[in-house]
Amino acid sequence: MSTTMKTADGTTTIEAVEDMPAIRMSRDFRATPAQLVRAHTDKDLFVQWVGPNGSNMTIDHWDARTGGSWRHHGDLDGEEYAFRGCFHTVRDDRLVQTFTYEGFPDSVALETMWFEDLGEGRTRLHVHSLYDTYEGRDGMLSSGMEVGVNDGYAKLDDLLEAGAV
Amino acid sequence: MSSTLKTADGTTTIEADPNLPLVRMTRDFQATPAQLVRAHTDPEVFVQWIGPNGMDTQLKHWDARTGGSWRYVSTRGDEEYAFHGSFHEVGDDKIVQTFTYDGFPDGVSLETQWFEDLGDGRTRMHATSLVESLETRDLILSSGMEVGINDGYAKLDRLLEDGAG
Repeated sequence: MSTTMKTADGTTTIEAVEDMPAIRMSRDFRATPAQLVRAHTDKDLFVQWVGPNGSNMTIDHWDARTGGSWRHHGDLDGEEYAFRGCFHTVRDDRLVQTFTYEGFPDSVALETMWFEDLGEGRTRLHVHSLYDTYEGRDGMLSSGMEVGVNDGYAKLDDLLEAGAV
Repeated sequence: MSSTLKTADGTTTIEADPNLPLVRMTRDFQATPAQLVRAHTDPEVFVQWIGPNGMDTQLKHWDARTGGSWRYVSTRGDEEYAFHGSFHEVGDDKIVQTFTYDGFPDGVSLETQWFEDLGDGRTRMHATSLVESLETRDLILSSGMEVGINDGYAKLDRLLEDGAG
């Protein structure tokens, strides 16, 4: 496995952090930090872009404030994939949440997102996902996650371009 | 610095995982797993034992169920320390939560406690703290954390003995 990969359209860098059971991702958007925070915390926006194409996301629970929690599931080729977690921190410049795929209920990742203002209406999204084992991290990296990441962020690009965020 | 230390009374083993940003603790209690889950989730029991001797803890928010969250403030004289986090999972023999000391608001750890039934009314607690870097892991180990841990669990021992846990 390579430690760095790019999504199919080359926009998102995904890398395994050396010496840490963590995944680091970064991606630039034509958006302000505030728009990206909104895209990740407003459930009506979030449900429109998260996940691979055709996954029919449904939000089961959503309380996007510090101390709140969330659950959503997608339906892909007749199979249901559910995820849940807690919002540990919801701030203008930073989101921290826990993340569990319910198919592996004992595995928990701690995800931190921050939003680097590049000026001229562009923002770099940084995502850092920390796992408690290297196996958990490598399992996620080899799961085909880049497809969902790529599809999802491309949908978010479209929403931003359409002025929906 | 040794990567393993024991509390003053020798009851709790604390060690750094050599390859992960993780601190592990184990300690045996004269209690059932259910009693230990209660000691960590019942607000009236928790405030009686958490923290070092001489520190008073006040819960500001407490919702000890999967997807809930908590906040408390510990005081001793003029000293005040605030902490908050989320309950990612509250199970019959397992608790997973996030933890932030408000003095370092960008720092967050993922804490897992698993209660192993040893039979004869004894239970071994396995606790891990996953932190953001190996440096943070080593800082925690050299911070004097073992004093508060030792005091706290000794108080919990007495509560259990008095039948209050």
